[in-house]
Amino acid sequence: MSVVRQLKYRIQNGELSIVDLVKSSLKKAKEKSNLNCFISLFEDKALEHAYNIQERVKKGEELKLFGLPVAVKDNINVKGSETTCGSNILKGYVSPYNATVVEKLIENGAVIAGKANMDEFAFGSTNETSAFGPVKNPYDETRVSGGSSGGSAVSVAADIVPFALGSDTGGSIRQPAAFCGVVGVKPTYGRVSRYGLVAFGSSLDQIGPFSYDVYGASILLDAISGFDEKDSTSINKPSNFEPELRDLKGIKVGVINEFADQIQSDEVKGVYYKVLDFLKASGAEIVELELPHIKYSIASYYIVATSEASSNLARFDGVRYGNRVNSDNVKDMYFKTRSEGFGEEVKRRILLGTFALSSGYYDAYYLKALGVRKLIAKDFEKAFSGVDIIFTPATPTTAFKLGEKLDNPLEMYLSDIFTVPVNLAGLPALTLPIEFSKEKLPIGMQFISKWFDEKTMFDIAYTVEDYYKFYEKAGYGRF
Amino acid sequence: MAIERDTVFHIAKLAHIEIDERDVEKFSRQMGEILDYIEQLNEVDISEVSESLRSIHEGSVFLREDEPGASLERETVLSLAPEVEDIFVKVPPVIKEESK
Repeated sequence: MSVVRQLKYRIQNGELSIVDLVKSSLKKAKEKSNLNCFISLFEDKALEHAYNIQERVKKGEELKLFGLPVAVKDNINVKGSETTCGSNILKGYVSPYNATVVEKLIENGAVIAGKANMDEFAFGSTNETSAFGPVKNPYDETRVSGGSSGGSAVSVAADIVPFALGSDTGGSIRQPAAFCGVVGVKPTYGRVSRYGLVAFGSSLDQIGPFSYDVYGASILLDAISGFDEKDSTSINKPSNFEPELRDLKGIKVGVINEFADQIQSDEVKGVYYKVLDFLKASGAEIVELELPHIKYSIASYYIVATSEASSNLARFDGVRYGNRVNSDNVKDMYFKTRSEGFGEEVKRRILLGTFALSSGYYDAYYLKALGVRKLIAKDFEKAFSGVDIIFTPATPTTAFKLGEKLDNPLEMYLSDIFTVPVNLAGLPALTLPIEFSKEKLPIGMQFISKWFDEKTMFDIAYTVEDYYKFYEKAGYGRF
Repeated sequence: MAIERDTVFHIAKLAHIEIDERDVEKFSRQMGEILDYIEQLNEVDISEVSESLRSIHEGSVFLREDEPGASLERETVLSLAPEVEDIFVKVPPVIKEESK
């Protein structure tokens, strides 16, 4: 039985108390502080909350998340605590409100254990751009966690918490999930309210769950999704995500040959073909897809994402909140505050975005990138008229060494090559860990389904998970 | 191809970010590399996609009614600001005083 289900039953039949579970979770967080996955830990508050939930459960209340602890990425507002976005510019900012997803976590009986480390403003694929230092991969501390939701991924992978929330703009949930061996989901654009999430690329951002297994990720997504009038892109489409084993016979699985060719690690390639063989042997029909514009994804993405980021980050000016570096005139104050507060990758992306939006370049870069983006979405639309699901690798390699790509931004951007197209098209996708490499590094694969058809993605991933049982190899859920 | 130093300085000024001589070198090279990579978008004919600026998914973006509702308390908001005077957020002078 999957790990989160087991925890659920152990809690339900009184074998495991919510308070003990939360205590053990906080203890592990402190023991594993060298991984640097938390920016803040809510010790007293979490325990207090655990006692409350235990009381609620005793009174017979049925809670979707039954008291399990969750780590929340530090770009999501939790009332009364700092939201740093991994940046110095927000020093001293204490959130005056809860993000909608946080309200939903509380309502559904999750205990917020703390705020997870991340790349500064979610700009990065390794968690090395955080002003609070890099997050380390629990399987090899000389390697990166992936990013930008590195702290969230590691808090689950290190078995500290069964749940975490991240945000995914170009792969920021799915790539660290693959590097750390946990399940990570980027829901359909509009599925989850972003109210209270600090914006990066507003047409791409989506909050999503991490968990030990597919079941865990599905119930966490169920708890946080839904219409919210405070996010004008949110959509009212109730769904039940709880996964069921599916007979794969006759299921049409789309594959993208261009992607397979771009896998750099032989071991990742090996696992990709192994899972493909499993799907075939289970009776699935493999369909080779033509997506003629997908090769332009990274180019289109880095214009769209940086343009939106440069606009979104204009609000950090030292006037109303966060850190201010004073001067004798307001313009200098803006310059000093932003120059001291933002790290190098943030500056680089703001500059790139400002350039793409500036007079004389707007048509050539921004409008062009949007046009290409539309063509990529249309390619997917066409592909999905003939398949139920698309299967791809999640990353071209396993987790790389700390520092390896830090000085080569373009190379770092290219590590998101399999995840970025999904955000451009607004599709849902899930990373499923399959097995370990020879060096004991996790290898993950990606399932992409149709807009708002997360259910198919969960079902198929759940069926594949049931065969490989990565959660058993990883030994998750020791509480 | 590196982009010109003057362009980098100009863009930085637009973005209200100070950069020094060392940074400009690095940024002009790195941004140049990224823009070279992005050049490939020019191979694509986008004349067929007229509605590029429209949302790509099926949802329709809505605007809520412009009705007053609950918001954060004034004190709460002011307590977040680096400098406050009375009920105002205080900033350094916007217009320079004439030098005497």
